[in-house]
Amino acid sequence: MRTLTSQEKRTVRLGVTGIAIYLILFGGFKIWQFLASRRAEYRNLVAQAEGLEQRVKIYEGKILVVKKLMGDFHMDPAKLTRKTGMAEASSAIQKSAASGGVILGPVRESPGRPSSKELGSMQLEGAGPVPAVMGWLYHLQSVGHPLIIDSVQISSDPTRPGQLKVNLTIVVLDFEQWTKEVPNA
Amino acid sequence: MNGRSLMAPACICVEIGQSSMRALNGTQGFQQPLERLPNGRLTTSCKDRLSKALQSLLERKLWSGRTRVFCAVGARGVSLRRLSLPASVDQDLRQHLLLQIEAEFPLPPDELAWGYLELPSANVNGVAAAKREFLIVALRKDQLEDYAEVFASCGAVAVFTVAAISRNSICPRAPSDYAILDIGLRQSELVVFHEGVPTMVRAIAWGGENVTKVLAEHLGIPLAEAEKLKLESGSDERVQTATDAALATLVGALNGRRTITRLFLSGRSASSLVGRLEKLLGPASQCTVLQSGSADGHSAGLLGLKADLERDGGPTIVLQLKADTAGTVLSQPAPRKWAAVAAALALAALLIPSVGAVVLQPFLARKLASIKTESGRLATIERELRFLQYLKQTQPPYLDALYVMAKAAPPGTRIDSLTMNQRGDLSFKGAMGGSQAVVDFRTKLIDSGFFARVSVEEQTPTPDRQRVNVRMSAEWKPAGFRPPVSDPPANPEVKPPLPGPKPVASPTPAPTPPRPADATPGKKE
Repeated sequence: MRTLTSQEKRTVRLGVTGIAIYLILFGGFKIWQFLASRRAEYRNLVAQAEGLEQRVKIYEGKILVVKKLMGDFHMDPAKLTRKTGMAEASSAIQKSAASGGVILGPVRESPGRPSSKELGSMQLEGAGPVPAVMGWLYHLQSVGHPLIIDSVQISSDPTRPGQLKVNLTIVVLDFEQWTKEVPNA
Repeated sequence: MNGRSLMAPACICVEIGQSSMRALNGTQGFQQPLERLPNGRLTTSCKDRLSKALQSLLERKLWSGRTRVFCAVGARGVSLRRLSLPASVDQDLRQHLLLQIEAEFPLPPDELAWGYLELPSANVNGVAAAKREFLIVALRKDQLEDYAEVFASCGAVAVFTVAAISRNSICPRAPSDYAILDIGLRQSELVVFHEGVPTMVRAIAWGGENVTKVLAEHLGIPLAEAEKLKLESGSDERVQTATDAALATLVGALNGRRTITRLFLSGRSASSLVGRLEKLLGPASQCTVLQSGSADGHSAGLLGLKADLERDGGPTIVLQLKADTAGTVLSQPAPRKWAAVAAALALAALLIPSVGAVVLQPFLARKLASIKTESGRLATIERELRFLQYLKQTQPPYLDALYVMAKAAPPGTRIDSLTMNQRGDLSFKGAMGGSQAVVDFRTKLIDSGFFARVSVEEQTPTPDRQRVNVRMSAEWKPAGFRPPVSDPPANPEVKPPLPGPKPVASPTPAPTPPRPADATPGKKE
């Protein structure tokens, strides 16, 4: 192989330099493009995260309200089961009456209407002193089950002064049937 | 020129003698005469002149750091000492050396500019030496302060060394004992080396000017012609005789060093005097002229310093005016460091957003996916909230209605039965003191604002005409329209209610609701 002249060497050097510069610029451009696309994806993710954060922030207040209501009713709706809900509610009501000094009479249960999101309804008869009956009515809201007292009938017992007879109709709500639309109250 | 050299600060070599200063910047250089006060310090005018001359040489680039001036000073006042320290001394070496210097030198270390060179220690039978040997080079600090001031006024950092030692760098291979004699105009410098280590340095008050004067006296010619004759080193017997006479003083000073077997000469007059000097010193001594390039104005000291810089990046021995400053400057050029830091910061500023995006994107995507998966719980929360709110809103206010009735019932009222339902219908049956009591009762119920409608369905006097049997019905207002039962009534005639049960929204139930018992059925008699 013949020796290159200085002119040829200079040409080769210039060519190599030019190719190197082109490769550096081209590679740099490609790398920059890649990084720019990743940055765009990242910004998109950040925007999604910010939107999610805004959405969650709204729920922070709702969560506090839910916690307070759960504390008021002594109830966690997520733990209510449809299968045993009626039995557990009946047991809780009777325990509440017994602990409050109300003697229960006949208890009649009837299945609820699915359209009304009810698990069932109960009719109870009981008797007891005035404070016991009033206390029982008060505590029925917080027995740990979604109860609504549909009707109350209080009457005096002529044979037993100071005693009241109470007749309650209680509806047990079904949380599982609950949908987003609120039933007409 | 590569990038490193572009960013590196400029380095200038300067040799300062007793009567002149020579500077070398690349290929440019200058020589300036020095004017000294009787105490050896530079005059103010000389400092100004030197400063101006140096500024023209120190063309500092904006992007480079402070120019470093490697300055080789003359041998006058320089002292050499060999010191030994235990081999175990490794830390605080400087402090140990200072203690030794304080003991060995007549001046305290604070008044000295000094540097050191650790000498290679010889192993004995493969065992490391018990002591470390150091060569200490020192001179009075005030001898250098003038020079440092001049360089500082030009914005340069001065690094001082001894020119006599720097000349060794351009000295060819020599036997174990040799000496270098630099012949100046009025003063010569002699440094003796043993195994490449300087053992003695001395300034001799004899220079080329002495030869010129003797020649002029002996031959009766002007000094300029005598200088010319001296440099030509002709074979004229009268010239040689005069030269020998002039060299006698120098030879007398050198003969005290019998161990010198080889003498290297430098300086402007070296070439012309080497033959006569070798003859005068005798056959045991061999004299050689160092290729100093003095014809270009580059002295042996400058060339030696330049050789040191090219080989080691700095002089063999650095005289430190302040503690650890010169070493720092030499070991870590500031501008290069700052340039590297700036470049790194710029690169980081460019890449951090992209690198952050590339690195953090997978983590963020995973976290976002998991949050989206769990976002179904938000719907559950929404359901629970609606359910609980519905439950709260639909709780009928039975106890509130009883409380309002108890407050409104006139004395002597007897309620036989009371029926209420979720829709708000209330009906009761009982007996009251008279028709006026019924009217009052109904008025109070209406005034309470709790009921939307109150009607007396039937009112029948008892057979004894003392009481009235009554059957009433009412309907309470829907939630939101009823006043809170604990609030004072709007009608001032209605007395504030007694402490009653908490409202329906009460978060914690009272253990026993304090209801007035006299308004309950069968008790209001």
